[in-house]
Amino acid sequence: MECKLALSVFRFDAKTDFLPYYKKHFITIDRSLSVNDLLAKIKTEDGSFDYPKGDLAALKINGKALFSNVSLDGIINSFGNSLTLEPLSTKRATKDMIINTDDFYERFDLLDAYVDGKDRPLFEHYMIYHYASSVLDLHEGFQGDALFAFAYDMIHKHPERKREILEVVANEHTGIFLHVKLCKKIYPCGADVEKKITELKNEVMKLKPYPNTLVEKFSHHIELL
Amino acid sequence: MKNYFLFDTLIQREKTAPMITAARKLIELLGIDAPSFKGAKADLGSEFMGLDKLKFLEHYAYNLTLAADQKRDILCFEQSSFISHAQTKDMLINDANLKFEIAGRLEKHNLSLNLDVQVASLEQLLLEEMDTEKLTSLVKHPFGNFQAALFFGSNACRARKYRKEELVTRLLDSVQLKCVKHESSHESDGFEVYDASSSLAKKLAAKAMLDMFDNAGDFVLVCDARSFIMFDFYQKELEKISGREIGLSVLSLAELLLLAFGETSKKAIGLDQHKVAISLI
Repeated sequence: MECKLALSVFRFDAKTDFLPYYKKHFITIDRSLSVNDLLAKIKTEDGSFDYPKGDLAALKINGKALFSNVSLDGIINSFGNSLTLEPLSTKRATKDMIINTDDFYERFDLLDAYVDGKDRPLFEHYMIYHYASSVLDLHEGFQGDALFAFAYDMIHKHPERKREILEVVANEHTGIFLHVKLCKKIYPCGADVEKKITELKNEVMKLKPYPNTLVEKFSHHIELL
Repeated sequence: MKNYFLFDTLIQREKTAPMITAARKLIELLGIDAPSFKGAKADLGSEFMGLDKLKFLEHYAYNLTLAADQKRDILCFEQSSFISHAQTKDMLINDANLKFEIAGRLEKHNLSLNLDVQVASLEQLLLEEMDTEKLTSLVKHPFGNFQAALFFGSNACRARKYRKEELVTRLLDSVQLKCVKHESSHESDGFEVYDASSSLAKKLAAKAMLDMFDNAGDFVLVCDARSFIMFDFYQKELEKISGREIGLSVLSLAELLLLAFGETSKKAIGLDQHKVAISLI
């Protein structure tokens, strides 16, 4: 079934623009198509528009991070016909919906020594969680929720590396205790990752991987109960 | 109407005292059978689940059992305690191993785990058990001239499983209060990271507050004691960290309803204990 969408689309070219702007589009499209199809349709209206392609293509719609292969039908049911399309991070935009993801891959390097190269696609699969968090813009060096979800998977896949992995994510200045809930910032829902992060925190508190004042402080809270 | 215990041992009671005063006053005014839940363990906030899940569940299972044994349901007037109790019950009912583990822990306190208890939110009680017309008839000072910035916070996602958010907006309709649109309604209020980084917590809270301020909210209506702490108790510090004046009053649902029902004594409602003065009356 076709429907008409009112779009506000983030535009920015790092090579030529000083500030971003939002361009309006009114597009009629079949609801059974995907967000990727919608982006392609915008491109046909405006050839200068660019967006990420491939399995890891992602963006934000009405503030929620999502992969572009999701169905438009669900998006319209959740957000209505008026949509704001933005890159995963407006601060890291290079061309419209395309961003520089170096910071995301730098996080993988934190655990690189304890996992296989083959695990990298799994980490990439969590990209939207990295850019969904409000903490990323407010706290420099924050490891990010993608790394925490990935770490949870890795301590189960490589239990012999559990201590080392927990030591990384337990960092009191950049680690897991700075995570804020992001269920509502992910489409369709981030509850599964939220659950993994809660379990991972419990693992840190159980194992107390290395002397860490924050973990000691929390242990004291628990003992007081 | 059912019999309840009013769960009033909120998180950080020294900072949430106004919410407690208002809730007790509202319960008294409406003639609800909900005495204070004596002997209950104080709310820890769902953040605690991330530190020690089993202790968290044991803590709230204790309260659930205590209330169930006295054949009373638990009435929570804010989101933090509501989520923790409701989620504990849900998890124990749906996980036999966890239930067995927690039952064993409670036995050490000479308690036999009893989950035959309902956890109700204030808005559920008011709209589902009381006559809506009766509520509307109590309104002496409708809020038609005001616009609130309604804040649910990032914990609301968990609460939604147990109570509908629309109940709050329906109650607001009954006092003719309109809400401004803003993007921060489900953002973090920062409380969950306060112990790890108070500066990050305040930055998160300030970001949400400034968004509500910039969208012309006359005041902030919070659903959670943790939001009340961050937005009222720490507001001066939020101003410092953001470099902007905020000056937004913060109200809980019980305080708002009491004002709408014509209660004008700031002391009786608890408004005299707010850090940010309430200028609505």
